Amino acid sequence: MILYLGKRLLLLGFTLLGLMTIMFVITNVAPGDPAKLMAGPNATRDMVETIRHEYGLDRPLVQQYFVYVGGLLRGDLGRSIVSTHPVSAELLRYFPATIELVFVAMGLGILVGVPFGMLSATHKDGWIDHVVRIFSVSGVALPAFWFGLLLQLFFAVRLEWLPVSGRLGITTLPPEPITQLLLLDSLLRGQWETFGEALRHVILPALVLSFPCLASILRVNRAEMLEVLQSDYITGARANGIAPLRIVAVHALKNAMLPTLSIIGLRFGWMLGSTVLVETVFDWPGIGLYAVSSALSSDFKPVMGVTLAIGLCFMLANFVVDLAYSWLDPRLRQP
Amino acid sequence: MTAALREARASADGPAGWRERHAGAIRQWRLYVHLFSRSFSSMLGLLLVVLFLLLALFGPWLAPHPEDALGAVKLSQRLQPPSWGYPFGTDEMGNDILSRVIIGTRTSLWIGLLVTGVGAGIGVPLGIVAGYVGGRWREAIMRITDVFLSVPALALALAIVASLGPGIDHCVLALAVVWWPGYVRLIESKTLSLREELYVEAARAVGARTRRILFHHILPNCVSPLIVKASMDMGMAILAAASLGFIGLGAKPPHPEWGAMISVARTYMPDWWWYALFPGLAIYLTVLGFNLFGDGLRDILDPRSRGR
Amino acid sequence: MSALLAIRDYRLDFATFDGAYKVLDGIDLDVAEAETLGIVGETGCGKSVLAKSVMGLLPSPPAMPLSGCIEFEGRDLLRLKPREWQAIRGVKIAMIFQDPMTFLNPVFSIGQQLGDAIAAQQRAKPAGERLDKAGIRRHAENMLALVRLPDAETLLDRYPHQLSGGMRQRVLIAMALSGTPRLLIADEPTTALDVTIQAQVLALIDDLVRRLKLAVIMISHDLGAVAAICRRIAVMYAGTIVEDAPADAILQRPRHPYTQGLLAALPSMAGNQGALQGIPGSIPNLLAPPAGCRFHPRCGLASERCRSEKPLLRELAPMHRVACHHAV
Repeated sequence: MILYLGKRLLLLGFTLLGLMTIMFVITNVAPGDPAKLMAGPNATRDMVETIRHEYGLDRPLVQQYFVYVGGLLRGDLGRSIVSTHPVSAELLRYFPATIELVFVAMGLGILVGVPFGMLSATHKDGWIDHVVRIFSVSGVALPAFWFGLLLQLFFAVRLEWLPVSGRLGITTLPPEPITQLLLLDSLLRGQWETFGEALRHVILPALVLSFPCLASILRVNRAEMLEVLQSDYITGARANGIAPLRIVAVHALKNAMLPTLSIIGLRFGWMLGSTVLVETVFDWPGIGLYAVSSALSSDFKPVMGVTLAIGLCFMLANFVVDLAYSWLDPRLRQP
Repeated sequence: MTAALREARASADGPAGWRERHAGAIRQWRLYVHLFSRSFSSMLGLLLVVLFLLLALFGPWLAPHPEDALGAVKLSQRLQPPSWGYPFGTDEMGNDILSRVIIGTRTSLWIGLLVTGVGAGIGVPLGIVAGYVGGRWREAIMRITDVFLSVPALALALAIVASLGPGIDHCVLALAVVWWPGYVRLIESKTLSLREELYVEAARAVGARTRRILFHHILPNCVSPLIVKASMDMGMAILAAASLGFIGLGAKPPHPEWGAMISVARTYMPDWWWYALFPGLAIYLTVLGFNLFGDGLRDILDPRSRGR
Repeated sequence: MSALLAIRDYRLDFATFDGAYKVLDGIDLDVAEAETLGIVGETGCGKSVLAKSVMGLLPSPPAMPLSGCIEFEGRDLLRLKPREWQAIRGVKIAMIFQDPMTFLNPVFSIGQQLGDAIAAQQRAKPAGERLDKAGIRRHAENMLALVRLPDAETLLDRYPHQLSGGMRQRVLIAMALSGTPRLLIADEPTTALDVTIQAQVLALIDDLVRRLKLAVIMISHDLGAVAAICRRIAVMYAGTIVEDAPADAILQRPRHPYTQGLLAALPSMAGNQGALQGIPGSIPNLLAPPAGCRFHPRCGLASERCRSEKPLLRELAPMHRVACHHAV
């Protein structure tokens, strides 16, 4: 088992290295002078040359590559031109907001998707089934940014039930940070009002972010449950007198979860990518917004840092999914 | 040759003979059409796809105010709500939003087609090589594919466009780079399983050249999953392109690209809400159409792989 | 003595896109306490459908019971509400199936599945008498010992894919018997097993039947397997019972032409017998079964009466019923 884990981690490391290489290729194959890009639009020729020398951009590409990878491994992601702060520090600052959003969205997706997928399968062709099927088809097609704008319009402006943007109201003080996750921190500090407000702020963006994931989970879970419920071992369990609820929720579900799990992993990745859209619409101060505002200011290092961070998260998520797979399905474990 | 044989041979030539020779394929197609048309969602998908294709092809002739597509300035009519004259309302320059959405269809569909075409054009050959040749080639190709697939599509595309600079061409390039690995995975696994089929082994045993095997046996059998993936990808590529446009890295104004339109419309929310509503609806319906269409294709071409 | 299980004039159709398949056409069958009954017939004659009907495992579309009743301990199983089945399945009537690999859940351990079955059966008991977790585990170990599986403790933590076919079938038998049912239905229990394992499993079933005073309905297309355990044999053809008699009588003095044909088709171990004898024709299409006696198209004794009038089971000798106009 340890051997298996070790092998997978090694593979992960290699993939990460490959990703870094791709990012390096992107920065250097791009047309345009990286030194000019870094110096900004108002730099003189001398300033550009100074920057070029200072950042080692005049050295041979191969050497630059090793310097680059070495820097990355030490955690040096460069500096943002706009803010002049190190990218790694800014990433750490904005990361918790994104993590909080993604986790709430993922939770929504799983906690709604799995049970309703089950219900849809056990009540096939009932009204729940029809609603679920329409939902799961349209959910993936819905543009996240458009959906976000519509929800803002409806719930925040027209109905005034929920706030338009941000993580907390302007006048509210955030709780003393423990985990940097507002929901968790306010709970841990017993600040119920702040918790409520943070919750109200996170609902709309999390809903928008979770939509395609929810749709996919509904769809796959329903299909898998339908198939599993036809299995012989389900008939066998019924013959042994096991209660129908237990058969569906335990015996069938565990088998149906296997493919659902890999969809969850895939959708997690799509979600990470969609944060750039959702955070923009809701002014959510996470790494997605950081990447977008940097990209629009031609500030490339932060964009690269965010891409690497998202890539790493996705790889770790896939790793966890693999582990979960072998935990759920005993046939996959090494004898 | 006997008279009967001669007669049979003769009837197999010419137009009537064509139908005979291809009777099996014709029956297969009629079955496909029949099955497809029985599904409401598949037909809806087909309808939407055809609708948007027509809009893309005949846009300039169908739009009521085609000059608005390139940003005519009519400030006296700016930001008008939907009405008979302007069914989708007008934008901040006074342009008819309906016309801009119609003309924008061409851009979006064209992007989708390019991205899917280039992605498949690169991914399919690589996949076939990886699946058929195996060994070191396969290792190398699959490792590179894995690296590209380790980053979510939108994030990688964003990074590429950020480095190249905004613009539609850069968007297409970025998305194509992001899309080809998916095809490699699909075709590689299909080729791998096809390679083990008895008829391929038989062909090899008889001494058929690799090229013939690839073109005659492997490639045709890859076509169905390829078509299904390509139709679903059209929708997702259009969505991704519109997303990049929304961020501001896509088309430059006054080009009527749907995502860019919504980006501008955002600043005019909530009072002038129609501005953001209709382009987004267009994106949604296009993607929905291609998704339903692709689903329907999958149901008739490969009914065993539902629900993925 | 009233029968434990009494099936009376049971008719069942299967509604499909092509029409209604008339799968069971008037089944009349009794099973007494501690009696071993074998049901033999070709594939497609409806034996499994009959078995599943008794357990209520047929989904109700497409299965449409038309008439008749299935009485168990005096209650008509066809009229039971879904909730009431909890007190019957596993507790009073249990079933084991043909392919032990697909009938065990691959992602749960043997202990978990056996424990679940036992826990479900416990719920039929009043609250005070139910076993607790430790008690359930002990019961599970006892059951595994009962079916002669060694090393019960480690076995409980194993998964189905780690067991051999014979072991899996024993586990299924253990699960079925853990609630001490009065009737066991075994649907082709040895068909998927190797011949040597078949003999072992049959011997096990035989032993358990004697010890637990269990009534058994054993379904098979293999006359030999049935004859090893069952004291009475019923022969089915195309949804009807054609002959129902003590095992010896069936094997030595079959009276229905179909049974005679079946026995004649068995290859003999004794020397040269010449070519194998089959029964001409094939089983009828149940969408439009033959009128009258369903076997008449293939029967050498068929007459005008056979073509129009369905023969009912008549008692031709003590305990020996035959459904044929011309049998003696």
